[in-house]
Amino acid sequence: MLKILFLLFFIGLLGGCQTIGIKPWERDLLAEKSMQLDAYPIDSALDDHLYFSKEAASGGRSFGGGGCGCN
Amino acid sequence: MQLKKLSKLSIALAQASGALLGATASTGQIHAQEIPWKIDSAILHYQESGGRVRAIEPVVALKKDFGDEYIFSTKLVLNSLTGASPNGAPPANVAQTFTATSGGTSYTAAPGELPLDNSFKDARGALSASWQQPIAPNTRLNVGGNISAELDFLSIAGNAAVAKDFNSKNTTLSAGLNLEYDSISPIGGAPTPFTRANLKPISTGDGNETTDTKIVTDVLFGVTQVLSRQAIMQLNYSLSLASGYQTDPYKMLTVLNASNNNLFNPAWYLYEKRPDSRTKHNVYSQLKYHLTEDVINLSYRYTTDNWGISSHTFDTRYRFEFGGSGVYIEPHARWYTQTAADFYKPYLMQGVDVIVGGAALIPFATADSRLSAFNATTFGAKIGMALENETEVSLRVEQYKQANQTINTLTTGDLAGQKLAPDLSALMVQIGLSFRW
Repeated sequence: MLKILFLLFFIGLLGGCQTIGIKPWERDLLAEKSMQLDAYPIDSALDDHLYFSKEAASGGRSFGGGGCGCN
Repeated sequence: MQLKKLSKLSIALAQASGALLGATASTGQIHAQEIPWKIDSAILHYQESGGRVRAIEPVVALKKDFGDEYIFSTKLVLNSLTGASPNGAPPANVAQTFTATSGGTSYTAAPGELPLDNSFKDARGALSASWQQPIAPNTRLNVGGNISAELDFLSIAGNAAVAKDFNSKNTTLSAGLNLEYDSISPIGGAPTPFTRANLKPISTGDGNETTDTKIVTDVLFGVTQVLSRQAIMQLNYSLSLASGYQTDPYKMLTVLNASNNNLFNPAWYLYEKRPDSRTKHNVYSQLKYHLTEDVINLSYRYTTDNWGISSHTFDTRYRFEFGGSGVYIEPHARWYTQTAADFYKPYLMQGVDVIVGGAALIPFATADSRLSAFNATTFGAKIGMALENETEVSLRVEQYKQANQTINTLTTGDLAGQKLAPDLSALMVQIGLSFRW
């Protein structure tokens, strides 16, 4: 049931998105490295690991930063 | 139903790996000379104040783009940890003596001093790899795995994710699954919860420690949307199910009697216990906005779990570009707040929570400050310089601070007037180098 609800939610978003967006020749700024959602993956990974080991919450941006006994 | 899904998944994976072999043999060679390896490397120095944890963490990541969205990536992270870690017991108005986790020695915290286990030392190595390739028009599959090992911990994980573009690639939907198997072999063996920490036999280090395991399943659904020539955003929902040993074998709780005193003969410190299952929900959103030169990066995350912990995280970065010089400076601020776990207790009460040497009257308890209520901030900046051929050097300096919100209501006894859960202050310095090879 939950899965179906999420599917409907995303399909709904998709419908709303059809009017938003740009043409391929307008992608000059988005193509820059600084505009990538995770432009510096090493920084993100080091941060995720640090916060995973010091805070109760983890993940969100990608899969949770596992693989740590973390004292 | 589940079996059917699994068999579909295995067929898809088999097809993908088949295509992988074929593709690298044919098209891969054509592009191999065109796009060199991308190498990202960094070394992080992390130091907590007050003689607590110090970590040195080198990372190297390699990425090979074979063209046509066939991409191989791998990453190696090493981590050396030294220093002292809080054992869970709060500072007291009297001196407190504990047995060290390893080495068979003891350590004493003076009155008013946070008890820190000075024998804390660990090393970690983590290796990951992933492969991405198209599986249908506008659709990419990414499969990966990682293995991570510490002195007392081993983690093996595998993941798969599919991303599909819609609306002239202005919208991308993605779905992913991650399975992780963790094995924990505490030094000296996993202690029995609610037994006296100071009566635990000293570890002989014979390698015959007991092993406990945990399995974590994560699913993630995401949508990425181009909003305009200058703006792109992402919205993710993820669910994480952890099942198995999640207790911290090195953390303990102070027990107070009816007069709010710990009876030091021997001292009352009991090992903690956490539930075997944890379900977490995360919602994450991110917005990037290009001001035609500078770039704004904002994100917000909300998490909640069945341990009673919920959290909010706001993250802001502003990248100043200095003309066409390739130099940028990116100030960063992060705010974080979390509530305490339902079973978080800064101390236990004899006869209410437990009967020392007898039964526990509550099912779970931890004094780990990471499961208590606190606010945290990170302030820092990164300076970088982009050179020719995608070479980039960078320096990042950040200060992380936790302000604990646990309230001490005790007016008498050993813990009166003491800070029941510690604050934390840490400095991170990171040097990075990226280039094409």
